[in-house]
Amino acid sequence: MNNHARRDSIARRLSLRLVLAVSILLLAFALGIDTLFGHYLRTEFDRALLAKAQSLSTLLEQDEEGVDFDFAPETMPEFAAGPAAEYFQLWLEGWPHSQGAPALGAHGLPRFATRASTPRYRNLILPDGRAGRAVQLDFLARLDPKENLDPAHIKRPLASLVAARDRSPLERLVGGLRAGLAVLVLTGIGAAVYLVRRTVRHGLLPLNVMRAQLATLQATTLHARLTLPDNAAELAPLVTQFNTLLADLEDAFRREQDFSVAAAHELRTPLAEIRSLAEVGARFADEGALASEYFTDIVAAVTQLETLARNLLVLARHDSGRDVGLQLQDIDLVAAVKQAWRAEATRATARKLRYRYSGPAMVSIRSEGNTLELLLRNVIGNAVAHSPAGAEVSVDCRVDNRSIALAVANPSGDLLASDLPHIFERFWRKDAARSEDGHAGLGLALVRAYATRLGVQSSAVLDADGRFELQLTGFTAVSTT
Amino acid sequence: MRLLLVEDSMRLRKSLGEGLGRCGFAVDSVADGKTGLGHALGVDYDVMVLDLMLPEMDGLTVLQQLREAGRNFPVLILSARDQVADRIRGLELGADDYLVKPFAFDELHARLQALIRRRYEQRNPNLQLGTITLNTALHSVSCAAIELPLTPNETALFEYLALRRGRVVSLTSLADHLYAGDVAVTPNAIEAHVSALRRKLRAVGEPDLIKTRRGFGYCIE
Repeated sequence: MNNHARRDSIARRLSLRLVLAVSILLLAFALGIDTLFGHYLRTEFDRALLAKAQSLSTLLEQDEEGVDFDFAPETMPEFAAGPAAEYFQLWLEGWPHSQGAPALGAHGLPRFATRASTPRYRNLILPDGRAGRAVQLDFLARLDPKENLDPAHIKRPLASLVAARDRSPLERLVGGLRAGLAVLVLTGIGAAVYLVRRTVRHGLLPLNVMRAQLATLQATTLHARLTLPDNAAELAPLVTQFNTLLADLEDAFRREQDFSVAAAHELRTPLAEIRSLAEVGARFADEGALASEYFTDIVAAVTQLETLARNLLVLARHDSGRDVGLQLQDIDLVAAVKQAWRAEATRATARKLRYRYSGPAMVSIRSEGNTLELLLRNVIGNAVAHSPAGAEVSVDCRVDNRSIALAVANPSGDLLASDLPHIFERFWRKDAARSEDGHAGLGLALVRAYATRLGVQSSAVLDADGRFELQLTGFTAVSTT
Repeated sequence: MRLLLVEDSMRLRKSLGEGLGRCGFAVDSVADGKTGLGHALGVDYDVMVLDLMLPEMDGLTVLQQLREAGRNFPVLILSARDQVADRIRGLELGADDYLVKPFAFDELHARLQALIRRRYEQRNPNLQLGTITLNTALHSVSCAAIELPLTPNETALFEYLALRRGRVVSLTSLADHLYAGDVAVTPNAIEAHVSALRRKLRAVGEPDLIKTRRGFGYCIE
């Protein structure tokens, strides 16, 4: 298979589409997992950050003396300076300075300028340069529960607390998850390519077998038939149809070859006769009588060639459908049969053949005179040529309603039932040798061509007594007496 | 040389029989395979021309049965079948040559002579017998470039004896090979031809070319 064919192959397109579909599914799955788990991890991270911020916010208490931020660094060592330090910064109304985690040092954390009742998150760069995430809480300092203060009579200052921590572990986790998913997707696509190709190849095996068998077909191997390794319901009708076509093609090729060989043979023999007669005659032209005799023979051979050429032309016209239209007229079929017999009377008399007719005295049919005459002369001529001396040639005319059947019968000699399928073939003769009767085996082929032209069916049967009967059915009667 | 022509075409049979006869062959012509086989089994022909599509028995069957019966004379198939497979089949069954119709008469004649020369192991068409030169292709006998005025029968007789140089040829063998089946020939007629031939050879200085082996026949040494 060349590159172009491979590009357009069903297997390739099917594989590509299947791999594409599987890849899309895998990518969608990976995206879903990434979104779901990424969201979950960030939510958990934010929840932990918020919890830390809320716990810090609870350290801000108000009592009767004022607000106190009760942060003890030793209880929350994560806010001490260090490589994994966390940060917070607290702003309070009325405080001149904010208060922050020990790790913050002189740095500060960014905060939203406006206030909000819900926590707000943002990504930021931590003071030590790490990527971080921060949450901001805007709240009122809580009342000291030990002092039993009335909230209605205490004015509590508004506080803003920003807590921040390193977010690189979260990003690493999410990155790891994505990398895992990417590996999974790529592995899945690779596996899909392998499995799809394998499956498609296996699935299309009958098609490939069929293609390989078809590729070996040539005009010389038309006897071959397609076979599939397993039952492929979709291909079975194709194979059956193709095999039928192959059988028809083989038959047509055989007939074509037989016809060509037979035609060549029929032409070669009279040509050889003419050449031999001419050359021998010319070489020994000293004898006038010999030359004269040879000229007569040459004329006979040329006449045989002429007849052959004329008959082949009739058949070629019939095959091409270039017959001119029929000039229909009312014709007496019985009289036409008698006329055909009279045309063969000389040959029939020489062989002491007898003629018997049974049927109506007159049957008027609508047909074309010339073609009907040629048809009947060939039918009767065939009977006369192939009857043994002294035999009877019978013609039966049967009328059924308006349909007329004509049957011409004669003793068949050595004709067998197995010969009947070939009887209308061109150049077919019982004896393959081209004998001296001047017949080329085209008589019944011409009969069929003429009959078809007249819309009449032609067939041949062999009765129990070995009589050959040529039947012409489908004449339409105009009147009978 | 005696030739069997088996050909169903009457016109071809007639022209070839006449032409080859005038070229010095004694031709037996038959029209069907069965009769052809009968002739071929009964006579030791020098060469046979065989058509393939014959009535009664096809040519290939004739050839096969002929070879099975031990008849080894050369057979030239003359057929309208021109397929390579046909030629191969014919040659495989024992034919020595194959000529497709239509053909040139001269080519047929030349091929038949080549087959006969091959049969008698004589590759060169010119045979030198003392001062006499025999050309089997032209059927001519000459001495010192002067052609001897031999009749067709005398030429055929001389050619047959020359091709069997060194062997004694009986009168029966001469009758079988020099005359067609429909010609009645007596020993006296053959002796008359030999005498006439000897006279013409003696006239050019070759009186003893043809020897008589009394009780056996003639030979050229």
